[in-house]
Amino acid sequence: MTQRKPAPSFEATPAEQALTLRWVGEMDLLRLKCIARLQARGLPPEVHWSDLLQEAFRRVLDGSRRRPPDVPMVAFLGGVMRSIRSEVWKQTQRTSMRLQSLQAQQAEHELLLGRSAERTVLAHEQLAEIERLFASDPIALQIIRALAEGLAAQEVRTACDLSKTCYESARRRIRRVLLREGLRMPAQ
Amino acid sequence: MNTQTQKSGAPKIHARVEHLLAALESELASASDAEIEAVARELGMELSMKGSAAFAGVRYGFGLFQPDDIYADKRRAALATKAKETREFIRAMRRRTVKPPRS
Repeated sequence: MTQRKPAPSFEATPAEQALTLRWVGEMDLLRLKCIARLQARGLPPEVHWSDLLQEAFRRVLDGSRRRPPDVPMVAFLGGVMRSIRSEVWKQTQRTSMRLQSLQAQQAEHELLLGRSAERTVLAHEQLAEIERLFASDPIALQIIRALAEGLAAQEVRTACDLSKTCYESARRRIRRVLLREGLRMPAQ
Repeated sequence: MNTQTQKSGAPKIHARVEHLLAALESELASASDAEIEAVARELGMELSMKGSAAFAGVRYGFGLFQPDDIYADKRRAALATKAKETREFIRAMRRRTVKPPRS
């Protein structure tokens, strides 16, 4: 998916501010970068993964999102990014609807269908892209497909008929691929 | 596109994506520091540098890479050093060359 590259900024990013406040560590920033890049795959191309990540930090810094004490910061920020992600889609849908009110009934219907079809197409693409990452690893691919069905760890192991060692080793490979995808430079 | 097909098929694909993203997100959140460092090394990124390319888009925006970041990849750094040494050697040789007196 082609993504917009944001303009260079010389100001401290919200993520940098959170790091200064010691709310997160450097390694957490990298974990979150990988999560943001993973989540941004299915977004409209005008939304960059960096926007998703920095907006999540901004919301935590300005107090609009408060972390429950028992939730780790990385998991919390991951959840914030997920909610921003669905907001982006709702916003896109609303924009389409506003446009529709200015148009004829038929065009309205087509626009609504067009936007939701775009989301569905992007979801299919996202799923295919993730599966492609594990194309050379049949066990990892099996796990990925089981996870997409919403199965829990134990259920995945049973469904894929994997030993605990085999499952853990596949999980390590999955993490490695995801980290590589999340950290690599776009041109690499 | 058929509205009925979209109504029945679309929520399923969205649910699958959501399930998968949540599971992979939790995998990434549980990645150890050693795993992250190993991948960064593999990509030629030096995490100890503040301006490391790994932090692009996170600690700073894009387009702010310093030569040190670009040359974090050891192979490229070695090649650059070699090229610099060669250039210096050529310069030194030129300085030593005695030009023939003009007649």
